[in-house]
Amino acid sequence: MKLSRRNFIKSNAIAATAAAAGVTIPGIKTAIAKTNSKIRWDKAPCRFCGTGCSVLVGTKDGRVVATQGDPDAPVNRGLNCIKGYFLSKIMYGKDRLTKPLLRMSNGKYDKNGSFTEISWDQAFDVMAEKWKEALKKKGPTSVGMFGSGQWTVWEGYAASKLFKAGFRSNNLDPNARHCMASAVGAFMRGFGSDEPMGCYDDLEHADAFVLWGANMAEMHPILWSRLSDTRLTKEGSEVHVLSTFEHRCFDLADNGMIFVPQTDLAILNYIANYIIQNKAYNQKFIDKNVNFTKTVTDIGYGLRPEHPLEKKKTGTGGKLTKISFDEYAMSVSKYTLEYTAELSGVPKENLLRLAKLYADPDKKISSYWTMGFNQHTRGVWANGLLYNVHLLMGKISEPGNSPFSLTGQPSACGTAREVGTFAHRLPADLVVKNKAHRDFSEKVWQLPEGTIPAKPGYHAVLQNRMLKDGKLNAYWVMCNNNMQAAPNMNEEGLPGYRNPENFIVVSDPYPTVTAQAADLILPTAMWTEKEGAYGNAERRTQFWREQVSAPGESKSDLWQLVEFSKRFKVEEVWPAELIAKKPEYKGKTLFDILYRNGEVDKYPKQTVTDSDGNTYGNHEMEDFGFYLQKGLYEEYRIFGIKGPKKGHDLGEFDTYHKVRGLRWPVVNGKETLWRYREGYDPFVKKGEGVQFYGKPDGKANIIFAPFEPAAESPDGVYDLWLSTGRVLEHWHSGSMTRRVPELYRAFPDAVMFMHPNDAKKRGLRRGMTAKVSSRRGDITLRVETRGRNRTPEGLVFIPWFDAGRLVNKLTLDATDPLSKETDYKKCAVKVEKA
Amino acid sequence: MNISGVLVHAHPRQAESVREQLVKIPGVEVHAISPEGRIVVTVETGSTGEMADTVLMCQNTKGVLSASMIYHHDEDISDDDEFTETVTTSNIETDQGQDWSVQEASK
Repeated sequence: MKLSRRNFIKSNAIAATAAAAGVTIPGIKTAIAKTNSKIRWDKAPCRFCGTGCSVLVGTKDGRVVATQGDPDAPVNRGLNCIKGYFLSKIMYGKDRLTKPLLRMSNGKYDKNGSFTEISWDQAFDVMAEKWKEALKKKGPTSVGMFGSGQWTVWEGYAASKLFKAGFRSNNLDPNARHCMASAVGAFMRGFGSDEPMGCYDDLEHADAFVLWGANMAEMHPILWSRLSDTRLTKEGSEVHVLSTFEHRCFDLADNGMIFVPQTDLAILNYIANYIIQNKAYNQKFIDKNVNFTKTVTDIGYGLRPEHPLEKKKTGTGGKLTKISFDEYAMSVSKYTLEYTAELSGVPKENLLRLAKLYADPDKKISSYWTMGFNQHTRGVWANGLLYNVHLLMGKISEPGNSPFSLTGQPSACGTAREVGTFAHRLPADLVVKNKAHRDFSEKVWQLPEGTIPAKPGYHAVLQNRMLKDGKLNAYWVMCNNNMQAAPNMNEEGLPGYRNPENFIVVSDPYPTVTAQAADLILPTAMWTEKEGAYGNAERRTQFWREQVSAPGESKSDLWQLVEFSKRFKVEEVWPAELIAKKPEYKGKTLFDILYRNGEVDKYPKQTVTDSDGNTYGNHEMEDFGFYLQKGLYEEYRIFGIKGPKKGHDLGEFDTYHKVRGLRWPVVNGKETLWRYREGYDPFVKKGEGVQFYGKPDGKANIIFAPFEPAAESPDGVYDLWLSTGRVLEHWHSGSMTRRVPELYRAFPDAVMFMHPNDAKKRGLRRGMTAKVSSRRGDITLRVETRGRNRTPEGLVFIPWFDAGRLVNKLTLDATDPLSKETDYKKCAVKVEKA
Repeated sequence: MNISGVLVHAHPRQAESVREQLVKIPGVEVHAISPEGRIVVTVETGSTGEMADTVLMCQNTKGVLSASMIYHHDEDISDDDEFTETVTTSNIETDQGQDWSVQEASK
């Protein structure tokens, strides 16, 4: 039979889909992608969320023309969500930036001038001048950088070296502060080691799933697809969903629960109380593996110190005090079914069903959460309270029993957390406050003792405050859209960027809201325009090769960081006494010291090839003359293998170009699926059973924390809760997905999801334009009373992807005082007819 | 011309009603339904502009739990481009050798 090309393509579509559905078609078993010889196919992790799907990227004539779910990928098994499906188009938006742009008047830099094309040389000239001026006037704390959980591993690592060692400033924080910091805080407090103990395999091993503040159906559609599959095929399996409004996950829910914002803290304590009252806890497990503690309470809301709420607080910080089991039992005893149902608004029978599920020793439970827990002024507490429940039952670190923190960015784990680009961190779970950790880092980096400052730098929200206050003056924003993303844009973000004392640089492929608020914009290569590595939520590190060249004069973040370092002689940035400890560094540049140090430049220029013999470019290798990515990675890997914190081992560079990722710790080339348990984790010895080796005594902490109210709740004037978040079609601030015509068209503008009764009370109907105001600003947008999200009375939901309707003009910059992560899910607004 | 393959998940007991709704959407064809509620769908549209709309319509169909893109081809081609490989979709089998209800592609 001769087939038209169209029918052939269609047959391919059927074959690929059938294969993903567990159906095979004889004769079309080979990878679909390989049948078209004109297109070169290679793997890459998706550019968007933290799931870490692998896609096959089809390149033709130097342009990415197609993407397809990678059938060989263990994460997504050939599946792709709608955003991944349009991945090939994110690089080809009509307004791609191709030249550096500086605000100028009369041929000179002028903060109030208009953007004018300049060369990279001129761009780095003015940047270096501003950096040196700030360093000279106020020292290292006046320079800083806001980085990204979308940076490649080596970009984050290069940035960490440049700022923490080169400029000796810890004012480096990633946008992952806005999404994952609370999860990190809870991992460190509970287990002494960051990132989940389980993995995605739990999606098939579990008997029941509980979603706590995660709308997986829209935000992690591929994982949701796997979860749905288990629910529909496994006898007796069930799904429980908790949220402050009804969303797509409720379609699959056996027990759907809408709770009053912030009362998740009470519900979690109720479950613990139920387990204890019914003596359902796993005595053997808690005797051997758990310490009981309580945390300091009434700790404020991370606002500016002069804020009335901060003056009222009686406690500070997160110090843990050991308590007995009985004291713990007493602490949670207040959270009875009656009290919790009353406070949370969740019917008693639903709460009871949930508690019974966790208390059933025969049910394997995987709990998932994302921003509902993390973007919470008690986010570290909330994460911890769920670990309490799993630890009481011993339902942890084994197939199916998995408290699992999902991530929102493709390398929030791999780059922001593992490389440690937070203001308080160093690679592989090390922290700047710890002398031994600084010593080790300085040794790996071949730096004189005392180079890395001990004091944590400014975190995300504090950076904006310090910009406004004129304390942070030379500032580089890379690979994020923080003007749109950060809270309270009117009062903190914009005044900081436009403060005449400050020089703001933004590196981005597109003229985002943030870029437009900058003084200098640097055009940036993205995704497969460079060689990269990401780490997903299940500890899986994945690499990709450069597939195409970036347009115009765009350069990767990595190139920008490393090239900029050439502009600084060490004498211009380090004090004489520090240089005196390492006199051979005299007269050298930061480039020489940080990147041409014998380790990073160890691997010579070479041709990058795949197993089929295809060759690939590498612009950084071309420009710097050595395999920069490999050198940075192999140096970084030393932290995991030889560092003071056990269990962070990564495999060799070349391996990752061959495999569909590996989950760390990788020991002898073998990945780890479940941490802390004998038989799965190579760091747990025979006979030890479970060993939480991140803690000195090998025991995890159960941490009691009470319910405390939100920073801002509805009142007589601002009478509605506002929650912000995402929708399926757009990823984060929409700087990429809104440039894909199909996705733009599918969900063009943000709308306000509202209960019909709330709308009616205000003279509004579906489709009308409303004005939403908080104490900090207002926006106008259309009212939506139907569709995918159904809010209860008293709460509205607005997605944040829309640059034309900036919801962060409304949000409050209240943060978790422990994690410094903003609560984007709770503030008070009023709604009127526009 | 745009062609994509979409895997749709539905409650098994609703799979048939989901199929009935899906085939009413222009450009949508259903090729197989597994007993577990996995539905093999292709979407064919004239322009890429309609593709996302159509796929999202599938996703928003009552009873659909999730819809995942498996395959996408976007290329300017005419039916004159002949292809010599032989393809059949009539004898789809599961990995376990189980038969599936199969609807032949209409073109």
